[in-house]
Amino acid sequence: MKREGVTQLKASLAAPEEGNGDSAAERALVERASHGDRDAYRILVEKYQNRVFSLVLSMVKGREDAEDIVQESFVKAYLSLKNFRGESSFYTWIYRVAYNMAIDFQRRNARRNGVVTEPRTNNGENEVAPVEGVASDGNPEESAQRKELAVTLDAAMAHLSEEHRAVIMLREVDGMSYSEIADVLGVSQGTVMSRIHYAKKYLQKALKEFEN
Amino acid sequence: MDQKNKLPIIIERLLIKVGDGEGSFVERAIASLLTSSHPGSREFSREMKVLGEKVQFLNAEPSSSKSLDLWAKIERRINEEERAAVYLGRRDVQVAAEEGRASWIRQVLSPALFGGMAVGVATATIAFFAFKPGTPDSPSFVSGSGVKIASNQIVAEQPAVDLVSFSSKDRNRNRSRLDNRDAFRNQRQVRLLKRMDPRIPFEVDWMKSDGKVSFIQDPQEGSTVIWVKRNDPATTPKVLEAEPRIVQAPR
Repeated sequence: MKREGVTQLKASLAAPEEGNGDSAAERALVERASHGDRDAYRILVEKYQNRVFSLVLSMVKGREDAEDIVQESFVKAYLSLKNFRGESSFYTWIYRVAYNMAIDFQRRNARRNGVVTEPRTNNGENEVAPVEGVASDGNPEESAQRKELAVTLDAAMAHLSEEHRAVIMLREVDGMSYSEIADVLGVSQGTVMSRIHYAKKYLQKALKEFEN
Repeated sequence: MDQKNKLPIIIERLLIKVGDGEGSFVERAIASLLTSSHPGSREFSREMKVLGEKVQFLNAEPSSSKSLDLWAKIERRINEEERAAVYLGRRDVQVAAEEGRASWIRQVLSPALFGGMAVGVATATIAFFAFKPGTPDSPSFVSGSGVKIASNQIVAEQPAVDLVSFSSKDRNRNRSRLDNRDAFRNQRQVRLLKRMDPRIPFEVDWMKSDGKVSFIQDPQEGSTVIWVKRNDPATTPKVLEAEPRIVQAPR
């Protein structure tokens, strides 16, 4: 019976990888999960794990670290669900939990290693794959050029601070509004705007240099 | 975009905001006007759009991460936490506080608008205090006992005071020759005034001062009004400790 209910909720949710939740179905899932319904929580995890992972991966260096952070974020969120009042949507909340954990991780790392921020290296962990909407006709020259562009952009992203990378990811990849980004990062919309402006200008400059 | 077409930051932010679909009706209209009339703005908007597409392309999920399935690990960790809670008590988990949903008033009073209002209020406040009578910058009337009396108090609460002398404090400090000349003339005029009749009620209306001491007959009140220069220590009159008294204005 309970299982049936969860299945119905799962079906009523938008496609798992689309949309920014906060539907009645999602709220119902959160409610069930807060009462210990693991199946309900599983649906939420499956819906957001990849997106949260992308954000965290953009902030920390390695894939394994990113996975650990995402995993721990979902565990923490589950243990705190009883205190979740539903004043914000679950997805901005889980993003915020993960974002704060990634920032903490970076700071701990920096203290341990005596460095503030190390550019994220593209050592094959974040391999660029063909994307929907971007033609990939198998032309080797084009493919090489695309890869080069990706490396340039990735290197430029790596030189941004975690905060700036995060706003770019949340805006461009997750398609969040400024207000949602402000909620996730715990800053004002003005700060979000300012960070987006800085980050985009920086990336634009880097791309110009690449093109020249 | 070359150096010649470099846009001011405020314009860039506006174009980025509108490009991100966040602009208000007015902002969209301004951005549209800018992009249609200014090549630099048009170019900047285009570049930002292309940049957004490139970032999306780069950060599109790698095929390997599509199979990312953390549930098994997460469930195992949750089980561990719950088992440990039986013996050790529930772990106090600190997570980020929720941000409340934006109410309509919060949306109406957007940070940008609120920021603009704050700047306006701050400017108005500074202007208000800078020009308000009775502030530290404005001349204060020093009584014989050295107690400072705000000028507005004198006008409002002590309509008639006996003007007996000027404070000579700071008279020669940072004073140009022109100031010296003005101060001399001011002193001479006040001495003359004093000789006329010490009982004449004087109102000091420094707010109307044009920089010189002069005395005129107030047509409405029938009393003498002295205009004194503001912020000039040489023209700061001393007020006697004597109780203020109302004296009939000269007929």
